[in-house]
Amino acid sequence: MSRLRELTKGIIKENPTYVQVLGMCPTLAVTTSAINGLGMGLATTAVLTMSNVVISLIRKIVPDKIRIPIFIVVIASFVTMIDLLMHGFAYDLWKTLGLFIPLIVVNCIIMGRAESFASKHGVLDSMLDGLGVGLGFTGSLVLLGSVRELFGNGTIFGYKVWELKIFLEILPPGAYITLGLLSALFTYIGIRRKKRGEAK
Amino acid sequence: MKDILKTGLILMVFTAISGLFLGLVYMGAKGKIQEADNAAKLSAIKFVLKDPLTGDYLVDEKEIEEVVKKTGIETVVLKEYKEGVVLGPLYEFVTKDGRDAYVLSGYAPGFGGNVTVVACFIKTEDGFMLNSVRVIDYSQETPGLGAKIGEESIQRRFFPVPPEGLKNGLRVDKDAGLPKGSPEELKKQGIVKVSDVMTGATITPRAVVTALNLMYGYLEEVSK
Repeated sequence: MSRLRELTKGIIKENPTYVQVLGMCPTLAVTTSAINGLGMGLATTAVLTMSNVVISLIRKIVPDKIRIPIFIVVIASFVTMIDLLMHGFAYDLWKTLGLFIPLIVVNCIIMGRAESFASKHGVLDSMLDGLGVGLGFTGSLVLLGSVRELFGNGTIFGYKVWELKIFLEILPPGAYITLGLLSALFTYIGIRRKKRGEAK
Repeated sequence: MKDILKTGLILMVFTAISGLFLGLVYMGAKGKIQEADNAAKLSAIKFVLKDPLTGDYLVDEKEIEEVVKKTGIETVVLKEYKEGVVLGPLYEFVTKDGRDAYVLSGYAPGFGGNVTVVACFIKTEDGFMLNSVRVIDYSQETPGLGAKIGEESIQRRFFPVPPEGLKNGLRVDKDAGLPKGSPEELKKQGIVKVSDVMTGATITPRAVVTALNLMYGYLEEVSK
């Protein structure tokens, strides 16, 4: 049960985007479409899961004083690997995401999970934590990207839904407004769940 | 001192192991990366060698592949200008109706980085005409704004341009004082109408136009 909780906590309860408000740079920048959000989210999930596993494995041999530089080396290596693999095997997505792939290195969600979880827990728990938080992040980006694409371009994943196009939605202010509304929704869900838990 | 050496040594071991793994991944992906880059370039060359109105190939597809293979696909700098760079190889084709077609690429600075364009120019009695254009790199442009240049419907605003439109230099409509008229009419005067489809992002289409002007200038220069 506790392992299942490790996996699912990042999806709603500790959602990195809407609840913890982490990783805002890629969240605001790449979510102009649902496919961009999905690609970015999956790349981040892969890096997060793999770096959590490695950091958990080496946690006992890493001196406390230099743990941050070593974590950065591990994370940067995985990001570079993902960048190379996407270049070779998912060229179009790699082109679209451009600069934001190398920038996963400085995504505070990854460093945050490494420091607060993977460096203190076992391999399996760390892997589930990385996977759960990564999927939560992916879901958040897909949701934000879908809303912005739907209202900004009238499509979802490129499929036409309606003719309505609110240009503001694909511009940076649209990202902030939509993120704010979705954060409010997640906070409301969180409060309701808490109240229901207290009532029980 | 001993402590510094110890931590330095540990860091070195970790970076060396990471480097080793990265090297292995690169060795494994190198071929696929090269293939993906070459495929993207070949697809751009094929695209610009199509008739913009009918969509038919101006040169036989097999011949395109043969010329590209013969000339080589590795990018080389043909000429550097203050405003941008013209890149080669310069591919020379003969169209099915006997005209000389030239394909080359070039880049100029956009909003976040360089915007790279592949273009096909066809020699006519009045000079070169711009047959077709493909923007192949705009990865540093703002998503939703400058990055819209990747959309085919927007790229179609840049071609075809007759020789009289190229002679005075291509301009985006904002730089030409936003003249009235359809995109097709304005192209004849060397004006690319994009202000209606790329609101708030003039720098990116201007980079495309600059790169095209440099390529045209280079072709004029070498053909003399």
